[in-house]
Amino acid sequence: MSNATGPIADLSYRTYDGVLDPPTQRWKVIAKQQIMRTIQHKWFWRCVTGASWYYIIMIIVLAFIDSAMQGSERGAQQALEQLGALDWTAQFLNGYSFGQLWYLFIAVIAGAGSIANDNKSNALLVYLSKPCTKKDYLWGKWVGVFVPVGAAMLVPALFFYLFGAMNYRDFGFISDDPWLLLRVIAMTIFGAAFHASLVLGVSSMFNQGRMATAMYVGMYFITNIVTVFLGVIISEAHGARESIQTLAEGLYYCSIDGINIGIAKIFLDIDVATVFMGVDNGINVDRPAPLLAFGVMIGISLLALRLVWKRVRAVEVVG
Amino acid sequence: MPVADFQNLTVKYGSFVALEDFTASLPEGCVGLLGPNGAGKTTLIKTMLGFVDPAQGGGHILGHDLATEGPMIRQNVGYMPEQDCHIPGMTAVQFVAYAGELAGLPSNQALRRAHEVLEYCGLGEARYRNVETYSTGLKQRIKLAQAVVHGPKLLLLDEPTNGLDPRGREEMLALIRSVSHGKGLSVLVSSHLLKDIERICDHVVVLLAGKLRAAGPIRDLKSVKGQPVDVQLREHNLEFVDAIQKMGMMVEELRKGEYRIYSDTKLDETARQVFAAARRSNAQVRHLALAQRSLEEAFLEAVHV
Repeated sequence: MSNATGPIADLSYRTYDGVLDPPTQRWKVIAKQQIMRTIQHKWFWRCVTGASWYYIIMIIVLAFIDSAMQGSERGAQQALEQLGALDWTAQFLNGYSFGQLWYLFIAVIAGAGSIANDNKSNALLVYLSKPCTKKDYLWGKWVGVFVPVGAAMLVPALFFYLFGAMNYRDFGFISDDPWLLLRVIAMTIFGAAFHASLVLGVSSMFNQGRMATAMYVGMYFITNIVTVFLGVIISEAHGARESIQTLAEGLYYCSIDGINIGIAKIFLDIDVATVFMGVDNGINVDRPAPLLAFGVMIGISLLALRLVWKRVRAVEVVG
Repeated sequence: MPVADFQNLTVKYGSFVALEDFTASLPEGCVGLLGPNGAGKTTLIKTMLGFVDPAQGGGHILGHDLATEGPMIRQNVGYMPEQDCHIPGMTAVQFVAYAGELAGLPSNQALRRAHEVLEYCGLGEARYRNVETYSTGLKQRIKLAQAVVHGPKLLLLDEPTNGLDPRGREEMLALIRSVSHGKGLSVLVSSHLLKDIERICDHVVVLLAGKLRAAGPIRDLKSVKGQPVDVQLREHNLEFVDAIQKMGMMVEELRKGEYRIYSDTKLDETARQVFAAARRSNAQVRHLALAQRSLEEAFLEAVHV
């Protein structure tokens, strides 16, 4: 068709005879698409900025202290005392715990609609009719949620680590805990994996992304409120009995928020995180027993993934 | 060489048998899969794609084993489902390019190919719109586009004209006929619309209650036993009927001036005798052809229990 009016001159059907990748590892295509869609969402970047606020404030405060050190001898003395007393590991726990709400929003943006909207639009028929297995689909979706959530947790922390390592080596930034970087990485990997598994499990239960969002946000807040209030009521009711009080406080670690903070405390090897000048961050419950905390986190994640596995299918089986 | 062959294929949903002891061979070209609702057409297609595991039996699609080479089969097969399906939040170009990548196209080739097949399927500038805003006709076209984007060797179409207005239906049938003839692409079309199948297919497979009832070229299915011929005269002519009967042949009047003539002789000999009788009776022959039933008659006979 030489005189075609469209942008493509030859409009007749031609068979594709170029290269085709072997029919393996299609999860990479799904994960890439999922990540691209998340990072194109403007609210993702707003939430990442929101999740970084503690690190940003700390960098500003530390810069202020730096300038005070150069100002007067008295100011320098006070600044040196503050820096010397600063618990660097605790700052990462603070950054992580103050960002929890934002991580929830990022998980929702990345994952709440990912399977629910596919259910609504029968997208599974498209995925599974291509050389793409159920495992590829599930793994691709999981990685597609894990990477943006993990990056939102890790990148601001890494930036702060880099800032600290370059400027505060003399104040024990590296020498206090040489393994700090690995601890931070492990903390974020587990946190992001937990969010990714849970949000996909919830997403697979619905046919609308909005419903999945409402359910996941609801689960987050309800588990948080219920466990905190239950803890307060139990500890008040039993007064001085220390064992009951410890148990009641530990209930917090049964919420989504609590599981993440609990695991972070275990990795960072810390109980109470001081923000600055002796002010604590409000989460001053001792870290949970590692076996129990990991058991709960991995158990819930596996249950959620099992739910997704059961729900993902291209054919409704009857009879 | 057949594009697909099945041996004793049985598919069950729980205790319900959807496909029973199905043995058939699908030739190259355009094959129609006919049957009333619940006959097992969609089940056969979903089994070919590996969505459903057979309870027993097996088969080969494009030379790949149904039980062990599912991904290879799906890489060489395109599927256009009956239901609406798309990836939400994407334009048609993004959707079809993504479908191409899922099928194994490198991403730059997938985008190029997406534009190409969307133009071919008549999406034009609409391809830059979000798929969720599409009419039923456009959704059908985009389903076809995502099915052919990777250049499959076999295309499975499940009720491709479902929900289309007459014009949309005509265009879709023309598209299917075009891709299935002379483009190196075999097509299996599942439908209960006999006229659609008759227009675009060369072969049919008829299913009823999960069992194979008939299979073969449409021409053979439509042929009437004994090779009678249909004759149309300019006008009704009793002398012609007498002349034919005197020659030892049987005549059945179908309509005014139209006759079906049964003969034991070969086809060319029958034709010669028809023209001789017409000459004798001064009748003007307007049409002479091997008698055929409609596909509907053939289908009804095939599914008659």
